[in-house]
Formats: sequence, C-alpha cells, structure tokens
Amino acid sequence: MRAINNISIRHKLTLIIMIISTVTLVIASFAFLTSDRLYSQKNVSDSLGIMADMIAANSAAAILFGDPAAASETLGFLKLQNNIEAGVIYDVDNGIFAIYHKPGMSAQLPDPGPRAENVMFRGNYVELFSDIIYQGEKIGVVYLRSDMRSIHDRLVWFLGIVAAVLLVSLLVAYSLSAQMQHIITAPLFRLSAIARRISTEKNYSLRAGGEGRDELGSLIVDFNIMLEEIQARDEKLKTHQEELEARVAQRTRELERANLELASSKEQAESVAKRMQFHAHHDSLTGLPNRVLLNDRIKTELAHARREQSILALLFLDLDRFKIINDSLGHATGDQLLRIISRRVKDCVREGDTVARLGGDEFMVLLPRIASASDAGRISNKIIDSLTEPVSCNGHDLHITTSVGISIYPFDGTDAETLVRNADISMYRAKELGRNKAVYYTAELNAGSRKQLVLETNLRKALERNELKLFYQPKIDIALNTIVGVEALLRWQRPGMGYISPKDFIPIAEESGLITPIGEWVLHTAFRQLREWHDAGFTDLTMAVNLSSVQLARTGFENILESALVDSGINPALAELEVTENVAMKNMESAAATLYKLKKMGVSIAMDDFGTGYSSLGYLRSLPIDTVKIDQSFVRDIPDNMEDVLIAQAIIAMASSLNMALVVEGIETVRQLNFFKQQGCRIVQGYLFSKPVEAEAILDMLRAQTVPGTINLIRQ
Amino acid sequence: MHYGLTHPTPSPVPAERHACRVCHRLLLLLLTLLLSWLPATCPAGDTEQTEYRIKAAFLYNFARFVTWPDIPAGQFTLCVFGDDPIDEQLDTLLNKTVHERRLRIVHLNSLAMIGECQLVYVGRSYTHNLPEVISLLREQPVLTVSDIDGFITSGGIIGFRLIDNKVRFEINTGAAGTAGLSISSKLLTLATTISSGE
Repeated sequence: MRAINNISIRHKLTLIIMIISTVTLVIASFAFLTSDRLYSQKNVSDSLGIMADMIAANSAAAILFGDPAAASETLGFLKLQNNIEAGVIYDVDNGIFAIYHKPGMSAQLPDPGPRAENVMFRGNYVELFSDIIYQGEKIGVVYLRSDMRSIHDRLVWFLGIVAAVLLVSLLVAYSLSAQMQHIITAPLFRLSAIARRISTEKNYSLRAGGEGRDELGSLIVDFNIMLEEIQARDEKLKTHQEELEARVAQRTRELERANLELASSKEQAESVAKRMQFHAHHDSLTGLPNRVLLNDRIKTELAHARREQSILALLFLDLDRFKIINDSLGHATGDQLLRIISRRVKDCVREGDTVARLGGDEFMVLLPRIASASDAGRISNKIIDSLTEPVSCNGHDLHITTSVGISIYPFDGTDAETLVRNADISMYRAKELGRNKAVYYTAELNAGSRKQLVLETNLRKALERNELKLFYQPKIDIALNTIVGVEALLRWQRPGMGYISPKDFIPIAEESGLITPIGEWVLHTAFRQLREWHDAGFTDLTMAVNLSSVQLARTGFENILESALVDSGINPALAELEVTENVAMKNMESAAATLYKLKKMGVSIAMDDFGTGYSSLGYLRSLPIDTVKIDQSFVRDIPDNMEDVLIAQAIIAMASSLNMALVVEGIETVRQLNFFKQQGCRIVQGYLFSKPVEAEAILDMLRAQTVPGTINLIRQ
Repeated sequence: MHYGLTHPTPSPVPAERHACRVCHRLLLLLLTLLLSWLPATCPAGDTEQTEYRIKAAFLYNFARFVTWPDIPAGQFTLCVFGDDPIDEQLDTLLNKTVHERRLRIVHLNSLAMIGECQLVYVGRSYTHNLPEVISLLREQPVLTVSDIDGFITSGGIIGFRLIDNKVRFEINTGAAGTAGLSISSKLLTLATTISSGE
C-alpha cells in the first residue's frame, strides 16, 4: 500500500484504469465463455436429440417388423456426422437391434435400462438415450454418443480470442488513460506550481487559474480564497509593521529625551538611595552601624574566618548606670554622652573592626582576624580604660564605666546568633562581678544563664500557683528558755522538684523585678501569721522578715509595708525587718534614708549576716539599726577556730557598745550554745533548737512552752 | 419376443425365462412324441407355430401403418377367412387397440359379413375362393393380407413371403390405392416387393 501511495497520481490513475479494465474484461470473458459452453452443450444435446428422434421415427417400422437391416440403414446417416462416435438401437427387451460406430472405435456400450438423465456429459463425450415410441407404445431405445472435441476446440479458440482482446483492450486503456489522466492531473500540477511560486516569490497576489465545477474546480476556488485571505493578512501585517516602526521611532526619540532627564534625576536618586541605605544600616544618633549591618558583617566575617581558619571576637558592651545619667541629666546629655563614647570606642579598634550600636547603651564590637583570644581581652580593657576617663558633657564631668562580655569564634560558637548571645551572657556576668570589667564567655555561664531563665519563668508562675510558702524558725531566749520570736523564711516548693533554696531564686527574682510582688506577699503573709499567733494569746511574739536590696531600693516600699501592717493590724514594734550588710552598703544614702522612714513607722531593723561585709562601724552607726545578727559563717567553727571566736567576740562587743541587740544564727551544737551563753548572748536561733518549720508547728511549740530538744541541753 | 427365428447373438436371458424355456423344451418333447403317434398332418409343427405367431404380430402392425378413410367408431375388425394355423396365434392380439379402437377378431366362413371387416386375412384353405373375395373387396376400404403365393398379383394388397426362413412381405400399392387405403412409406421401405399393377 505504501508503494502505491508513493507513486504519482498520474500513474495511480493509469494503474486504476488498467486494473478496472482487466477485471471487467476477465469477468466478461468468463461470463461469455461459460455461457458459450452452456450454449454449446445445449446445442450438442439438442442436435443429438433431433438425431435420436429421427432415428426413432425411421426405425420404428424396422423394429416392429423385426428388420435390423433396415434399422442399420437408418443409422447409416450417422457416418455423415463427424462427431458421432456411436449409435445403437435397442429393442424393447434392451437387446441390441442395430448398431453403428465410427471406424476404429470399439465403444463399450451402456445398458439402456432405467436412468436418471437422458443426456449425460462425461468429459470427453456426451451420450443420449431416447425411447422409441410408436403410437404411444415404447418399442425400443436409441443411444447416441458424441465426442466433445469440437466444443473443447471451440473453447480453446475463444480463449485465444479473449486473450487477444484483453491485450488489445489493455493497450487501448493504457494509451487512453495516459491521455485522459491529464484532465485530472493538469489542474493539480498547475495548482502546485502556483503554490511553489508563491512560497518562493512571497507574492500572494498570484492566483491559480482553472475552470470547471468539479472537485478540482472547487479546490482551486478554495485555494484562491485562502490566497486572498493570506494576502489581506499580509498587507495588514505590513501596515501594522509600518505603524509599529513609526511608533518605535517616536518612542526612541521620546526615550532619548527622557534619558537625558533621567540622567540628571538618577544622580539625585542615587544619592537619596545611598542615604536611605545608610540610614537603614546605621544608627542615626552615633552614625555607627546598627544591628542589621552588624549581623551582615558578622556573617561575612564568619564566612571569612571559616575559610581562613582565623579567630574572630565579639565584644558586648553595656554602659554601667547609663540610665541614671539619662534620667537625671536628660536625654540630650545622654545622647551626647553616647556620641562621645562611640567615638572613643571606635578609636580603640582597628580600621577593619566594626563598632555597632544596638540601641540604648548597648554596643557591639566585631573584631575579625585577631591573632589570639587574648587580643579580645586586651582590646576590651583598652576600651574600658578609655571610657574610664571622665567625660565632659554639657558642663558635667561624667564618670562612666562599662561591662564587656567577650565571645570568640570558633570556641564560643560558630554562628552569629550563638556568638551574640554568648557575648551578652558574658556581659551580664561582668556586671555581676562588679561592673567595669571584661569577661570571657565560658560554657558554665551559658548553663547558668539558661538555668536562670528557666527559673525566672517558673518563678513567675510560682506566685500564681501558691508554690511559695513561708517557714518560721524560732528565736530562743536562752536565759528564759522561751520562744521570743520567729524569722520568716521563704521556701519555693516546686511540684515534683522539692524545695528550691532562696539563694537560687531570690537573685533571679531581684533581677527580673519579681522581688516586688514576692516581697509584698511575704510581708502580708508573715504579718497575718503573726496576728494569728497574737490572737492565740502569744502577744509578745516578734516576726522578722528579710528584705532584699532591690526591694528596699524600690520607691514606694514604705507603702507596701504600711499596707501589710495595716492589713494585719499588728503592733509595728513586734515586726522586724532584716537587711543584709550589703543591702545597706550598696546605696548608702538612699538605703539609709529608706531605713529611717521604715524605722519611723515603728518597725525595728536588724542587720543580717553581720560581719560578712566591709561596712565600717561609722557607717553602721549612721543607720537606724536595732539588732545585729551574727552570721552563721562565723558561728560554724566556734569555738575551735580562734579567728572566728575573736570576730564573734568583736561583734558582740561592738553591738553592746552601740547599744544594739544581738542575735546569733546557726547554732547547731551545744558547744556553740555554751560559748555564746558565756559571751552573754541571750537570743539565738539554729538547728539545735529547731529548723525552720511550718506555722502549725510553731503554734504547737508556743502552746507547749517548750523548745524541742533544748531543755536538756541547756541544763547540761 | 423374438422376431428372427435364428437370432445370431443370444441376448442375455433372465433366469426365470431360461427356466421357462426348459419347460418349453420338455413340453415340446412331449408334443413331438404325441405328434409322432398321431397321423402326420402337421409334420413341422414347432417351426410353423413360430412363423404364424410372427405373422399374427405382423397383421397387427400392418394395421398400424395403414390409414383407413373411414372406420366405424368403437372397434377395428380383423376378419380371418378359412381355417388357418394363424388362428391359434391371434389370441395374443386380443385387448390390443388399433387407431384408437378395440381390436376385434372375427372368423368368417362366408362372405356375408365381409362388409364389417377392416382387415381380412385369407387363409390357405380359402385359396379357391380367393378371386371371389378379391373381387368382392375391390374398391372397399379393406386391407387384404394372405400368405397364399401370388396373392398380390391376384389383386391382394399385402402378401407374406418366407425368405431365408424369415417372414417378409410384399405390397401391391395399386390395390391399396383402389381400396382407398394409404400405406405408410415406412412400411413400404420394409416390403420385399412393391407392385403397382392391378
């Protein structure tokens, strides 16, 4: 089929015509030959029938009168028939009556008995039986046999003719189709020639010529319509293109003009953009890079450091007490101070280092490519030193110090976030260590700060969840052997974690400011508890409550105390506030002022942990102290440690001379008790008598008027 | 049925027929013994019997090849004059039809009834009356047949002859024409002699 598809239409048409004529002729010839054969056979059988009839008619009398010679004469005319091979007349008993056969033929004669057909074609010959009937009576049978050679000859002859006709017809059909296929192919060739010309010349105005209303005619018409559309589109395209070109030219001119305008405005824009970018990345006050730019630089330098395997340091600077300056001298002074400080810091570092202001009084210094970690410490100290010089600002000479936290890549972190955080932690540590210091980051710092954060979070919740509880440790008058008062001690009972020491959580409470609500709660609770005991009949019992330095420093503490006193309705003289030596030392003037105010309200003041600080006696005298408590750190090794014995004796002497009451804490052994007894001390507290216990236990002790486990010992 | 007395090629005979022929032979033997005892009136009875059987058949066939101008409806009358051996063989013709009429066989000893006959066979015993019969039947549409020698020359129409022991016949077409009968040419071709004289 593919082979046919590949040949040209011209040849296809010829082929089709040839095939059709061949098929037609073959069918026609076959029909003709078949009909001719049938006709010939009928002819033969008809002529045989006529002959048989003739023989029957002419031999009837001979049969009836038993005259075979006459019958043989009748058969004699068969000699003239070329195709007759044999003729036989049978009598009524099927006996041979007369016989003829062609010379040289000795045919086997058939039995003329009952038979299906009178005429039988048997390939090479045809035979016929015909009854001889005379006046309705069958008197014999005629048998004739004719060869078919003539019919075969005739068939062969006809086949020859058919073959010749077929050949001639094919030749004629071929030559005719060669001529007539032009009728179909010529317009197609013309069409394809036009199409080819159009595609090479791109001339869409060409048209295919053609007449006729057949399929080819309509194809040509459709082709021309298509060409017209293409031409129309082509022209439209051309106009569009021209318009477009004109427009492009105009736009180009406009653009050139606009470009000139732009060139000038671009310069402006660029400077604006530069400024914008600068503002986006720099602190407007100091002109230092801000946090954004710093983070960028840290990342860049980290990448360098990683590649070069160099060391990089981050310094976190926080000015000490800057807030006080800002609050007291005003923002303008603060701002100026910050500008001067940033200049100084910048002067301390190399060209490629970055000094950034993170906001407020926080600065960050990025030191890339330092030789060793100690370089960071050196530069930190340089900065601290340079800032220590008084700053002359708006007529004030300001003394400013700074705390510096140092983190080093790659030791303290490998990414910007960790390094910044660790520098921050170190800075806080520096503050804790007394400010005006530089502190390297250590892993412990990190752990501590993390623990702190967790505690702080939980502490906030502790108040709400009533996890805070007050325990009370009795103070014993060893002369009278009675409980004269109690000290309230705060405990934090975390579910599933037991008690947490105040040493651990009070600093956090102080830092986070939680100390205020906690302290308030402590005062209220302790005073209410005291009131309960007073109501129970122990009206002389005193209650000591510890105050934190932060608590004391806060303005408005007097109000809190006042409300606690009023709320409980206790006699203020029975309330005692314990402050540590350090509390009093930190802000001497303000602390003293506050303590006087409190004293005025009727409460007594005790100095806790006396002896641990470095307070001068003179200073101590200036404070409204009623009682001093000897710190248990001196008590522990008494009476074996001579030094502690001397200190204790000195304190006891001092208290006595200053006319202050004295309380000894942390009495755990009988020997300790005996020592202080000998020194004339009356009021003691410690595990020897009772550890801090819950309010109910205190009530039991009061009621029993006994101090558990002590009486016997005292008697000793 | 065999027309030839001596057929050269014996056709296949069915077994029963063969058995019958044995019966015939036995019968013939008995008959011969009987006849040899009897006065020899009929010295060659067997041959004569066959000959007359054939002649009887011929009589019937003659009637079929001859056309009569007028035949009374209902029957065709075959008349036999005189005592003749053919009488015994005519029984085979009973119940046959000729020209669509029933064949009737009548024995005549006088000429009185001769007007009813279409075919007249004149036996040898009637030889003496032959001229009277011929003259009586001249111009009558009656076919006359006889085995008397010189019958057709005496004015008869068909005469039997024995040639080579075979029954043949001769025809006088003139007499037939006078009688108003037409004889089929097929019959004529079989005749040994055809004469047209009166």
